[in-house]
Amino acid sequence: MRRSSTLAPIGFATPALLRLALLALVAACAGESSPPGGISQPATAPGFPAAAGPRPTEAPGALQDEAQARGLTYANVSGSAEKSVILEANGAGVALLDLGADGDLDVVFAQGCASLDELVRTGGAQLAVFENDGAGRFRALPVPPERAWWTGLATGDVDGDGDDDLVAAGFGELVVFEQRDGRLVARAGSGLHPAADLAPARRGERGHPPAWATSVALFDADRDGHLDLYVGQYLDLDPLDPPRGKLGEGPLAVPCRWKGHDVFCGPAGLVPQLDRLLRGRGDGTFEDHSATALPERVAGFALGVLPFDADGDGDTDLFVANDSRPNLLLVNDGKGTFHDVARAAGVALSGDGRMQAGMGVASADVNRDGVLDFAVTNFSDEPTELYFGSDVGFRRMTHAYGLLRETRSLLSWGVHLVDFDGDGWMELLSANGHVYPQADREHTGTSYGQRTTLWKLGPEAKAVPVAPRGLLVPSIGARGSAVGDLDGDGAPDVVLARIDAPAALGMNRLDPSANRVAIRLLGPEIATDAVPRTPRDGHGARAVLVVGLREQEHALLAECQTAAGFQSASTPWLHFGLGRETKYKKLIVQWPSGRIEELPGGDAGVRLTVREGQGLVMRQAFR
Amino acid sequence: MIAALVATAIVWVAQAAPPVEAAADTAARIARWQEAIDLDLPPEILRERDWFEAQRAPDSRLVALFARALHAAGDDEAATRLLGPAAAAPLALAAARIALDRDEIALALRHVAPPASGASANTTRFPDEPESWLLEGRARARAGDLTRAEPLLAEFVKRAPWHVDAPAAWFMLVDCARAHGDAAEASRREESRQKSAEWHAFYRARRLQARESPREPLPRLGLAQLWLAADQLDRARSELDAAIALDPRFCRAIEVLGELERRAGRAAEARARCDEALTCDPELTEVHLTVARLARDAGRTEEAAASYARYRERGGTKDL
Repeated sequence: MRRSSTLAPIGFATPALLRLALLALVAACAGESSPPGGISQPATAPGFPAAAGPRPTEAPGALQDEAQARGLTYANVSGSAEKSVILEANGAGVALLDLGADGDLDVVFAQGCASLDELVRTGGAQLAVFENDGAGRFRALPVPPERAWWTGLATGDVDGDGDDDLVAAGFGELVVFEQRDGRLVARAGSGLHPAADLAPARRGERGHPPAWATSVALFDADRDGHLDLYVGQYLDLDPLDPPRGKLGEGPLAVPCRWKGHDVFCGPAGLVPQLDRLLRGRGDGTFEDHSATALPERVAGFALGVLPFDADGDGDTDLFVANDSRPNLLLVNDGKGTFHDVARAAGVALSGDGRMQAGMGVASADVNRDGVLDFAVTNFSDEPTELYFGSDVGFRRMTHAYGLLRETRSLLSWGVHLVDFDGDGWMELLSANGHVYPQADREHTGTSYGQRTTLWKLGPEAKAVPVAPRGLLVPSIGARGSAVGDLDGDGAPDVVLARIDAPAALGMNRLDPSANRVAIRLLGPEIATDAVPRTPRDGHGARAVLVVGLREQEHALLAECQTAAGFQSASTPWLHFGLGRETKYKKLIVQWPSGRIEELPGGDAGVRLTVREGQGLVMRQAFR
Repeated sequence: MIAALVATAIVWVAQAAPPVEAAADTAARIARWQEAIDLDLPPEILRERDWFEAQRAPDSRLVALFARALHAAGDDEAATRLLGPAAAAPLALAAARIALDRDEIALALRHVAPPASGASANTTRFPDEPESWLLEGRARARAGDLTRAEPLLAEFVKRAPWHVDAPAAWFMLVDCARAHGDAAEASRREESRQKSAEWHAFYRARRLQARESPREPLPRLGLAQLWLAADQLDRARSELDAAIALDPRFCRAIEVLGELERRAGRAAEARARCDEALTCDPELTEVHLTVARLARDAGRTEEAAASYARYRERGGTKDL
């Protein structure tokens, strides 16, 4: 995989900035709208918890867990505490999306069941939906009636009507929920099902494992402006006859053991399922194009799916983290056909050539060189891998950053590369927790409940652990995680879907004095037939923010993708940390349509909305 | 506990080698512990902590394996202190492994790289220990020095082609070939890596099956076939002997023993085993190929052709 350089070199070294003048820019700065208007700040709206107090909170310097105080009362159910079946171990995802188009991020959680029996008997659990009052206080909303053992969530404007929709995946279920009047309503005839009877409760007979979707990602594969859907699928599990104790029969049976302890069976020894790619028609319906879009499709126990422009050629590629199978780096040919180059790009296997248990994935420009990098979480005894984009493929930076030492005892799931503290450099956050309760037994080198962890990935090029405070203290396993600014202060917060436990809401007070800019990139409101075209919700658009003077000048790159981590969807807003800089020099946007726009600089402390062809359409001070 | 281990280690330094009569037991324990490490079962070793601590002067290989088990169990401090200055080769190699797991590449190199002065670029601190080549190669690869890593790793796969880390070494060798633009060599090495990885995956599964069902001869036969495929005839024979001891009427094991004898150049024994196998189970297939090859090698062309025809009639697909 050789990297294209449409935008990558621009702005990441001072001389390269000069090249900007050579670009055919459509610098459209369509005037600045007057601030806010969009967000009201009620004292305490009915149903929301009492005001959590003004910022900053009483706990500066931490991601403070305020879930309960702020009304985020979700508690995960994921089978038995003993985890006797693999389905019980993977937990739920979480999604941030704007319900009601009021400018804030609301929260949806997937949910599991108390047992497979319950799933078969009742059809499963319902999603959990929480409305944000704009200040980061939540109240539960009525939930859609659809039931399943829900797993992964994806967000995006699937019907092009200007608001966020949701795709919910599950064990035997896959549903498009369109947003109507601020509520999520299942789209009939969405075309997501390969068969009409996937849900296990609809069968009632043995030998029919349903399609088990894990992470799902909305992105524009073919650049037609309509969001498409990648469905990561896991394995065949018969809910009426799950494997227990051993796999196989007779003298060649293999016991389901880990470090000498009896554990649930799988994924090794079970049958992996094929991932799918469905083309969106732009009206909330999809069509299965797996055979043509993924011509070399190989089943691989998919758990994590990350869309991003891996080769910098302007279209969206995919990284798929597979469990106990080689990972995939699916490079887009620009027309929506994908070819796996993971092995050649150096990201399929561990540094020792071993298949890893890939869980979650996140991307960002960690080393500020204008090329996206990414991180993959893995099993215990395996590192969270960090790969830097290079001229050809990716370079493994795991050992240089000390991440084998830092993460070897962790089994990590949700992962984010986000500038939480606003200093202009990324942090690595991972949600951790072992799949086996037996991890708490002697001599395993790990534990079942694990802390959520945060490392600074600064200019010293080492993973420096952030001291455990607030959200980072409890040793409670988590799975899904999502990042977004929930209280409008410009600092990205984090929601954790802990397993068999209440959710956590880490309000970001790491550095309230850091200067920040948040940017939302949107495609044109009125669609044309032109191709390539930017999706209305801006998926795939890239922003480069140029910051600093003279030798301090640097450029920060971010790409609008909501699928990140494990089974979860984060904010579409791009968060930039400026550190002590109070202004940014310019903003360059590369749209999926191919258009490049440059906007003049401005003050930090604002949320900017930029629409393709219209420039800046909203500037709003942080709360 | 840590203090006790360290105190014990200090005493060991001053001790003589274990008595000769204990050597067989020591070798068996080393093999058992090595297998526990290879199969990711370090608790099995740590359960023998009392025995270990009671030893006045355990073999340094046992100390190294115990330290690796401690490390796998998350107790790096105890492992490191147990290894002490890690002067002996097994201790230094274990220390290097732990250092690599802690991303302490410079420390790993101090354990396995030859002293800077007077050393050839293409040797390692403990050239008689295959793992020294591997670990130094791995450290150099992780440090980004593929040029120095390559000959070390190549030497390792030459010296220890069936080592549990052989697939890893092949993988790094593929990267080395790619780094210097030799796509053809990378492709050849990738083929070796895949073969090695596949062999080890089967081997691991068969070992686990044999441990799970120690009275069952079938996993032993599987192990024998893997060793036979690797031309490791002594190891194959050992597994076949074990399988036949468990079930003297295990016809397929006798059949494979016939092929083993043929490969060992013991034609008479091979023929006797083949006859025995056919008496045991006239429906066997592979035995006819062995008989055909024996006849071919003895110049009995017609007999070879007839036996090979019987082999093909039974569905065999291999060439004579």
